[in-house]
Amino acid sequence: MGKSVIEQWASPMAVLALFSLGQPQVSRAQTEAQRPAPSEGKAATDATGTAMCSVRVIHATATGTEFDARLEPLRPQLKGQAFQSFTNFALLKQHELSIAGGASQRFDVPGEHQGVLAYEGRADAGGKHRLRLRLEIQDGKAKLLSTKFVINDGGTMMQAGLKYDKGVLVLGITCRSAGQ
Amino acid sequence: MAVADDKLQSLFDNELPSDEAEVLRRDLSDEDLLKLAALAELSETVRGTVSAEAATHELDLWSSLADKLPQQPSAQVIPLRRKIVRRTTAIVSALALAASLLFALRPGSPGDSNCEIEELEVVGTGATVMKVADDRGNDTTLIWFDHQEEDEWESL
Repeated sequence: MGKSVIEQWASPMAVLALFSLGQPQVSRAQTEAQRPAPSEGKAATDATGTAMCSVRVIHATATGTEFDARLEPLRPQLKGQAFQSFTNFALLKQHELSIAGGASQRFDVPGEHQGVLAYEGRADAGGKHRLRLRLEIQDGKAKLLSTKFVINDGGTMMQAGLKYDKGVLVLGITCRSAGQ
Repeated sequence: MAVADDKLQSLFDNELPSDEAEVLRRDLSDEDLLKLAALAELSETVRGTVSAEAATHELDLWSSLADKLPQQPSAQVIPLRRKIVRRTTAIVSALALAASLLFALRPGSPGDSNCEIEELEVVGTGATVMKVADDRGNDTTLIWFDHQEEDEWESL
């Protein structure tokens, strides 16, 4: 006896229905014109395609016990030992950046700082899609932090420690490749 | 006037519209009535002969057809309650699978980042690179740098 229509279609339809829920409502960051990567001066030769990056700007404080629901994807990390001194987490801003290979984009960091995220191209290894990026945090013309890192496609890197309003700022950077 | 034989045959077979048949019946002559009687007698004779012939040769179509049909196992009869339980189980399982996939692949959810820090420069006293685990055992790299007071900053 064949399966009923419900049995045949329940699984894929349920998956589609549930996946259509919960898309984050975020404001699109001010994305200024593409500019050359900050430290490299010009694009890397293998930099092709585009990186789509979400930069969550989080304020962690020791006052209060609220946890911003929009930070659920990062709850395990933020509630872990590294942030045990903090009990209150608020999402101040979520920047959505589309960065062409070899270019960078700026985003505002509270406290009159600037963030610069550059996409230096794909760095595939071990059969996995990986992205090479550079993050800078600037205070005016001064660079407070500069790091180059490679993450899996869709992976997340976090940065924290910048003091702000009786707490610290945490950046959660999640990037995936697009258009390659 | 005698009615044409084909009309008579149609009248006998009840193939004429009712109003036309009614008009025709009123105009039947004696000859026509005799012809109708003859048709009725002929029809009865033929019917009786065919019935008698069929009775002597019993026709069994099913036995010959059944031998030619493909053999199929008899259908399994499932009690209605068990069928409902199975269907419910299938739906619940599908929803559970969808929920687990939603949890694992929720938008913005960090997966296995396998982050590798290739360069790191900070101002101040230094920075710490650490791995923080999520609830699925994946590590997320965290760079924590000690933020200096403003008068201690210097450009890299």
